[in-house]
Amino acid sequence: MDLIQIKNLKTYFYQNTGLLSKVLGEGRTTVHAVDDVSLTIRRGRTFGLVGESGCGKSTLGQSIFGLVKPRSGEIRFEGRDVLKMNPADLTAFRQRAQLIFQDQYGCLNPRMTVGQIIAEPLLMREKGQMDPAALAGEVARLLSAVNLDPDAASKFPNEFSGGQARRIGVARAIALNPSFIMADEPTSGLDISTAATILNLMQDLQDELGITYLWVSHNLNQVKYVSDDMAVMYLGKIVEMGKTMDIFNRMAHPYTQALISAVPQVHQELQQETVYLEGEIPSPINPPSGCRFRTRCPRAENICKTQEPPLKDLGQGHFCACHLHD
Amino acid sequence: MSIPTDAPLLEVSKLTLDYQLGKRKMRALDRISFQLEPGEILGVAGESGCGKSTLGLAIAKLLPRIANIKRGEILFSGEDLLKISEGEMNRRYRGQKISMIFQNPQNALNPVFTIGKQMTDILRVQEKYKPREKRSRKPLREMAADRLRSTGIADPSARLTNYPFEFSGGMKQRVMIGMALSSNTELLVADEATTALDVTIEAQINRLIADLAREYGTSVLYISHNLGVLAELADRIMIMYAGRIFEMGPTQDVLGTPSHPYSAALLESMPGNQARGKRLLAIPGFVPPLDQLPQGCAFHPRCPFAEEICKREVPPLQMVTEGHWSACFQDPKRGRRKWQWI
Repeated sequence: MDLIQIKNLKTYFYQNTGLLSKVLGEGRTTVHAVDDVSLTIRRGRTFGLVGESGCGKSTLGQSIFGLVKPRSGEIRFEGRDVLKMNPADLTAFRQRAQLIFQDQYGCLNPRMTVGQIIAEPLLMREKGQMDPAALAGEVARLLSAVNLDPDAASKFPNEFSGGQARRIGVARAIALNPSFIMADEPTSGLDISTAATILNLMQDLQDELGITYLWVSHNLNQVKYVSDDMAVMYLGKIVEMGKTMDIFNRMAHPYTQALISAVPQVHQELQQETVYLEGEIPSPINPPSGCRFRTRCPRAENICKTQEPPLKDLGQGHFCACHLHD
Repeated sequence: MSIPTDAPLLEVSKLTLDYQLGKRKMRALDRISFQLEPGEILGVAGESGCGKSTLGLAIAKLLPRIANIKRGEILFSGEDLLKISEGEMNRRYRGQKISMIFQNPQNALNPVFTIGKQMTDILRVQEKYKPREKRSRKPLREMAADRLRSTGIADPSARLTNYPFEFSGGMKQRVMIGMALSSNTELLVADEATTALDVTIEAQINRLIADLAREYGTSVLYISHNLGVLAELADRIMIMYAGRIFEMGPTQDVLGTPSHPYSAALLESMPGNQARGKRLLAIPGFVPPLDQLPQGCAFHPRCPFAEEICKREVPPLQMVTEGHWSACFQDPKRGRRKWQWI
């Protein structure tokens, strides 16, 4: 059963240009952050979303929560379109879907105690009507669920290390028993062994509570380790999508190949010959014609300039957008 | 140069350094000794707070004022950097024989000057222009453009007129490397130089650094917490913990057959080759604050293999095989069995 279905989602940002271009009638420029993306996330599974910075992976996630407003498309959560929900349904949806942010201190109010931070969503749901003892008990339960001492409730966020602060963020995210969590770079900036504790914790929570994750990361080793399905994004488009193991074993898109081969491995037998990409990701304001990857693609041909490759099914739910597979 | 080929370029011996913060005294480096050969890349790894950045800063003598070097020597081609004056350091070493690149190139470039101005400034120093000398800057601009080109920046002459904000993170890091590309640079200290970059850009930058070592014989002290990057790039690896060297040796030896339980633990906690669903190792406990280090081996409270002696005495670095050193009392007793953490 699919928890989330996204169809033809487009999220654009508009930049007002200077006065001169306004006078000249050129108007505003458009940033094609997410351009016609469709995907489905299976219930209870982890969907990994990877790509370089600026590829639109975070924007895609934020679109699901309405943190940025999509221009068109459909986002179905448990069958209902989030973009067409009335305010009451939207409130209900937001209790079922939660976020874990990249900046572990930035997302915690420094002037609230950890107890207040974790209690806030509970109080919101109960409209402030909650027995203090029951609330404290619930906060203590959540803290121990993320392996923090219940005494932590009376402390402030700055008293915690990076890994602990991240766990406070996780505790808040699971407070309302959500069915879906988007984790945006959940271990960035953490040490290796601290990152391992967060990964273990999130796996345990998935096993116990059946939470579905959308795992946004640029760390391919991590996505390979945590996710069941994955998509690779480049300049606002999905270039390859499928079961994680299929993609790592039979990567079809030259971009996926370059991305995976660039990941340094500790064990040299796992290391693939690095495919070096020239230059950097082009601007999403004026993406290249045809295939967006062609300017950096080592295997680009003439057709790539003129025709945009469609996302084609290579079999067994493995999709790839590249003319090489025509 | 005058260095005999077999002599190390850099020889650090028993370097010991404290940070003094009010009454708190923190030993950030504890008897660090190692050598770096010309053209060699030495990777330094460890968790935050292990002293790896302090080590890089100490070599360039860029330490904050609260740092106190207690003892030790930093011999650079035989000359002790700790004994020379700031003026001498600026005149002869920084930006010339020793270059440094940091994690955040944003902070290393001045936002109000063009890239060209900043690059020709460093070239003036490297090309030994006198302070108020009226020699033409034109050859310097050409050199700067050449350097940018060799780091892979397209249309370098036009790019010299840009300001740092017009460059992406990867490009700024290339500018920093371009400044270090001089054939006079004998030592490059790279402190988490690619941590903030995408993997594809990271691969490009690391290829540049490897070329620098191969073509110009530049030695590199490559500080990173990413063992994968070090596996690819470094000739030797040094694992640090709480200001001490725990293990040091050729890359394949340290990562392939780690002799120290801490090195083995770091490798087990990375999602690399583990099967999906298999739990990662989370080392119990946490890195102790440097002013509250436990007695004996600094790692013993987190180490399941620790015995009585580990709680009492600091283990010395002992040779495992030729060139491979490890500081663990338990290791020699175990033969060549692997550390079983999970």
